[in-house]
Amino acid sequence: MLTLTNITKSYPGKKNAVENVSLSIPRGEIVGLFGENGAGKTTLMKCILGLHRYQGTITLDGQPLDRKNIEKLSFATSEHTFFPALTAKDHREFYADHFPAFRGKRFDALMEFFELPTNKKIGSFSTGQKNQFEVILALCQGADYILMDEPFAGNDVFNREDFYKVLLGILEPEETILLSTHLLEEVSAFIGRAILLHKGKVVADRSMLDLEEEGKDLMTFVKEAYRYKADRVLKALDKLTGEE
Amino acid sequence: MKKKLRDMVPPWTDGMAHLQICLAALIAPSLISLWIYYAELTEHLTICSIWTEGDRWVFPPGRMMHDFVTLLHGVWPLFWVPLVTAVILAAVNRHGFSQGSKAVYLMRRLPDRWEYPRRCFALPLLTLLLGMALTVLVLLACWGLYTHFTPEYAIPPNQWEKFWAGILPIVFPLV
Repeated sequence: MLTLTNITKSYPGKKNAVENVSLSIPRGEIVGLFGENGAGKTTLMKCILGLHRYQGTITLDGQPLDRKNIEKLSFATSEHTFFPALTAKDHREFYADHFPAFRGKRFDALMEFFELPTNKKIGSFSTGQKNQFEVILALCQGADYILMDEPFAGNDVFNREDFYKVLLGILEPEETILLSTHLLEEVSAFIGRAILLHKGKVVADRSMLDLEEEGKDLMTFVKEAYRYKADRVLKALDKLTGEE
Repeated sequence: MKKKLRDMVPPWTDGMAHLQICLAALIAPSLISLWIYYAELTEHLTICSIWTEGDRWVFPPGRMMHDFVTLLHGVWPLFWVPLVTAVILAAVNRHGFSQGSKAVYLMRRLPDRWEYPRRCFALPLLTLLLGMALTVLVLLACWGLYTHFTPEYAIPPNQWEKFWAGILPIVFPLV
């Protein structure tokens, strides 16, 4: 269980990027983390990974997150965390050296599935291939909690679809995904829970089963949570055309 | 040895190439320092002495050799080479982890907390320490040459105090 208690992250001279966030994410869940740009999704993930200093506590299975258990978390981000000048083969070696639970077989299978070259520098990959490779590394590190921050930014829709299917197919029951994305409709079919952030705060946290029982889809739920004004576009257009 | 060296540099760099740069930054300035110093020393000895007996210069009565520290002026800049190399190397290594990707995120969440600093700073730090050790050795060698070629009666007194008085403004220029 990944437990966040009263996490607050502030930058000097700015409002809190994350404010009093408390969450519990049990093993085996696929959780969607949603929010507008600047809502605090990336900051929250970086706090979990220890890449940012923060106030509050984060524990993994009751233990504070430190070097002893940090390998149980992996991270895929659209910023990418691989070494551009190394090949996939070099990365395999590096990960195997540093992460004892590295899943070599899964790595090979995913590389083959996405037809990624193993002896080419990652820096020469297309954006889509880079994203795929980034996610492959996160999935193969051998982590129990896989944090993904906009991992498919720049991938085409078929590519993303493939990935969702593969993801569902390979994940083991203990593996947990925390996925931050703007692609609500695409991921709604396979996430089990949706957490909504707004201006650094959790504004909603619901399981997809609950939503289903209420007869709501993810988009409706998100719009409600954000008090989205459906008529704002029409009003704006009326105002603009009225002026002319 | 090769694996150890590979673990001391960023994963994409050639450890041997880095080692060669560091060795060059250590050895070349030391040799050049000694060469410059020797030229300076013999020039001063020629000016101050009247003739040579074997490899020793003979000074006229009452004439003294110039102070040891004054012969080092051409040598000081070279002692900074390992320091400058180390700083540049460390900065390049560190910057490399954020160039083209944010590999620094990966490095900062590796189970071994020393992996990232080691790959950035181990070789530069080693260069710096060896550079300091070599500086001391080169200075000792310079002093050895100075006392070997200068007759004892021509060595001005208080060389140690003068040495420190001369070196401190160079090491701590702002103090």
